Amino acid sequence: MSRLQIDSERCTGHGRCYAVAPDLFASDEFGYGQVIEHAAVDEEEVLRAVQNCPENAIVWERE
Amino acid sequence: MTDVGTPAEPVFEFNSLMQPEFSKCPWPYYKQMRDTNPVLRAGNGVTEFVFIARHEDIDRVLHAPRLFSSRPDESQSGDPLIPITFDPPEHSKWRRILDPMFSPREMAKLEDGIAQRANGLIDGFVERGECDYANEYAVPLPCLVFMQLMGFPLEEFETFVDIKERILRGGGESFQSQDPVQRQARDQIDTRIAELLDERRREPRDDLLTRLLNTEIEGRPLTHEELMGTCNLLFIAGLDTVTDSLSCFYAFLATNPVHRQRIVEDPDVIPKAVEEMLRYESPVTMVLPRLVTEETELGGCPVHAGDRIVPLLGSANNDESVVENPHVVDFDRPAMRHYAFGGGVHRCLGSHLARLELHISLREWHRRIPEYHIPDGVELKYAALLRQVEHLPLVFDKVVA
Ligand code: HEM
Ligand code: SF4
Repeated sequence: MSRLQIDSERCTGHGRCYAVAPDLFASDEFGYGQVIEHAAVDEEEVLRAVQNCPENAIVWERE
Repeated sequence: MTDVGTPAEPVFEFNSLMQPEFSKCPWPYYKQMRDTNPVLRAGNGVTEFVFIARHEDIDRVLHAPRLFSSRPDESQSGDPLIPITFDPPEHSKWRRILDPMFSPREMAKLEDGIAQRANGLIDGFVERGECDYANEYAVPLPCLVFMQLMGFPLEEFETFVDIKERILRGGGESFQSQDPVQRQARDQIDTRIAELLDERRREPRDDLLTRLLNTEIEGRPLTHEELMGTCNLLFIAGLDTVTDSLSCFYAFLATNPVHRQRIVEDPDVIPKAVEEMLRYESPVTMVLPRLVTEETELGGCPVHAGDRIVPLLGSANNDESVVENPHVVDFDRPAMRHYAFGGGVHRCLGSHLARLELHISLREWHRRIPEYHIPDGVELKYAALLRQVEHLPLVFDKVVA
């Protein structure tokens, strides 16, 4: 299991996460990233999002 | 005798930002600065700024708004521009009402309209086999899209562009905003926006002017000054930056056929190509200078309350300590965190609109005009601060009817 989150204090709505990893993230009504509820996450896709978020707002905890 | 074999190493100085040579090819200046003088205090006897070039320092300044404030100098005239001259927590209140107006979902509704406009403009010159790219595409496309969204009358397109030019570039090579040309242009746009707001009060329409009039902040409508401050900033930001980006991109693509061909053959690469070209070109050179609120240090240099910091975005985006081979334009970079739209709380409000316009305009153009070049002997001139190629003639080598 793993936990994928967006740190809302850091996220400023660049929208890179939902552009590069649309299966994992969506935009809220303000354009800020939201994690889509999911059963399993694709590690590569998470990494792509993490590496493209300019604010380092994506938190991924592997257990 | 002077040695003509080795060109002089460019050196960044106070005036560089205002010079066309810098704007045309800023990368060597950025590199020189990062290598030798990443925190540079420089002035002209009247004003002084601290220019910063390293990604690390720029990152810090953009993310510490309490220490590096966006509030304007006392000398600044006119209604304060909203939300760019506010710090949190006031700033956040403004973004909460403005963000939904420019959200990806809201902007997606404009897609068909933008594509139609792009094709309409292309229809106007495709058969001629050449065009004046700035005047016939890069200026009208984003300006008309934006004016329609705001509710500015499209018949006044030329007047609006002319006013915007005078406000942004009328001051010549000075950093000052007190220039009479600019002052007059500001008065002109203030008057026109106030009239349009009055018209919408009487007769609401489906546009942002009307939406702003119906918006509430903390349970009350916006004051006249607040409406003006918001519309003024949107006017300036919305009418220039996408034009700048388009002209930088096409000057690059016209001279780099491999990259252009990739876009033609694989249009799905366009979103990535746009991010990479935004990173590399960084058409908007800097953010609003940040005011230091208390003694601190930046990259080991002391800075004092009252200092004005100028973060050079293009330098952060081409800093080898965070970008591998920054000088290579690679559409397939796996990791890309650029600051072309700024960063932190002031991250560009219009970024979702800008991206959509850039995606669609590249897609439609390259579908119809896959091959083009700049005629021999043309010297490109890049405007200062907002890197617009003022005159970009393109000759088409292949068009698709
Ligand atoms: C590719 C095109 C664009 C680029 C490169 C760009 C760049 C930027 C940058 C670097 C900032 C940060 C300024 C700062 O921190 O002081 C910014 C802020 C802003 N931009 Fe853009 N911009 C673009 C398009 C647009 C468009 C089309 C609009 C119109 C809606 C717009 C509206 C704004 C506004 C209102 C702000 C202030 C946001 C705030 O202070 O919270 N921009 N932009
Ligand atoms: S990329 Fe980062 S800053 Fe942008 S919306 Fe996603 S989480 Fe937020």
